[in-house]
Amino acid sequence: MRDIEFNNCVDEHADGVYRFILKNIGHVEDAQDIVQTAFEKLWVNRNKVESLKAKSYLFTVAYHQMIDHIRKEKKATITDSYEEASAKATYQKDPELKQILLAAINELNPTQKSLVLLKDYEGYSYQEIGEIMNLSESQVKVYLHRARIFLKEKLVHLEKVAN
Amino acid sequence: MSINKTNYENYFLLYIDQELSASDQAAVENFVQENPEYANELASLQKAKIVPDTIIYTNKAFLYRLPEMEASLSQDFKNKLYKQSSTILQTNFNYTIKAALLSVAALFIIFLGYQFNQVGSTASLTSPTSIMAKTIEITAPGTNHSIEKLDQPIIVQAKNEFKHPKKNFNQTNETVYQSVNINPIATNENPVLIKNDLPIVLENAPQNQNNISSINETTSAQNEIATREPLAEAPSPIESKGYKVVDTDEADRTIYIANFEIDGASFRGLSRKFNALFKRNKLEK
Repeated sequence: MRDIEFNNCVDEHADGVYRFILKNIGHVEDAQDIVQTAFEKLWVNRNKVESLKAKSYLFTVAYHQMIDHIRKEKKATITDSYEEASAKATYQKDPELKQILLAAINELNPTQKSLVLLKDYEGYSYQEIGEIMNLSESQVKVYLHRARIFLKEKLVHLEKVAN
Repeated sequence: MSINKTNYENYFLLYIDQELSASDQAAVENFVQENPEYANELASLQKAKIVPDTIIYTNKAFLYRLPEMEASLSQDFKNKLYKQSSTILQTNFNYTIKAALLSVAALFIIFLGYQFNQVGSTASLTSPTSIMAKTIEITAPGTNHSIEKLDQPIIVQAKNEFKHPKKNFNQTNETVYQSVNINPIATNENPVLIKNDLPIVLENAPQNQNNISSINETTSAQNEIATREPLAEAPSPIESKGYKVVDTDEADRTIYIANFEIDGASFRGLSRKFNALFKRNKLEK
């Protein structure tokens, strides 16, 4: 990987990695540190990593960095900084629905949360998610489906309560 | 296996995750059209799917790798920066080996010093000069043995060619006396045959005449002593041997090594102290 290709990776994937980490840990500065660490590792291993697999490599490194960070901090709850970052984010249609869904996602365990984020944000396939998170494809499928059903029931329950 | 009312949820989940093939996607869509009561189920799952946010990472400038960050020095310039420390020869001798070597060296120097001393003191004796001893037969009075009397001292031409750059060994007025060792077996009863090494007088000394006279006196005195002693009859004379006594107590014990002059006495004192120090160290160990 050349310097130019690396800088293109920064342009193309830095936002996605940052968003993925930020949505998971909810802390802006920690998320930035993890992103920086991921790109540092990509630079060190630039001769081993192909350009086409750079994105997957970045997410893999960032995910494991995040897991280490969560284990150290022992917190997976959304902090105030995450709330501020989320407030800056532009939601598509229904801000209220998004807030409810965001709260429901935070009730998931870290693995399910990462699965949902990788699938919905980045559009990775089950196989790619399994490679990033070091899970089998069937595990990804089962864990992700459980998370989907949990989120759906949460939304249905809240709609019934609202009605 | 096609979609039905028992497995529709799994198909719906795969559908919203876009993990189905095109034909399966069409099958799911047909199933919902045919069974509208399941349309809300699919819509609820699609609502639970998160729509990506637009979050911008603002610190990309820290992630870029600029060319100057990878700037490297040329090899020629690096070669100028290289330093090489001078190699130091390290001896593997330990203290014992060093002490042994020093002792051997000291002994060798002492040996050389004694050798020079020996050469200096015996130069006149070991020179090409031929030293002849005269045998004197001493008989007791009343016997038929004749007494050979020393008429003249042996005069030796000292042609000592040994020349030290510092010391002149051609000492013309040096007289070496040799004592007479009388065999203890010689008694009054036995005549004694004495091999007498007479004094040697160097010829080229101007004051030799005085020495000659003294030697003559000495010889005659000895003969008188011998003749005055009443000796008994003896069947045969007993021969005794004389030993050379070399005066080694010279005041000058200077050791010459090349152009260096070392006082022998001081050096011997130092060597003794040095040896005593080593012995003390050994005892302390």
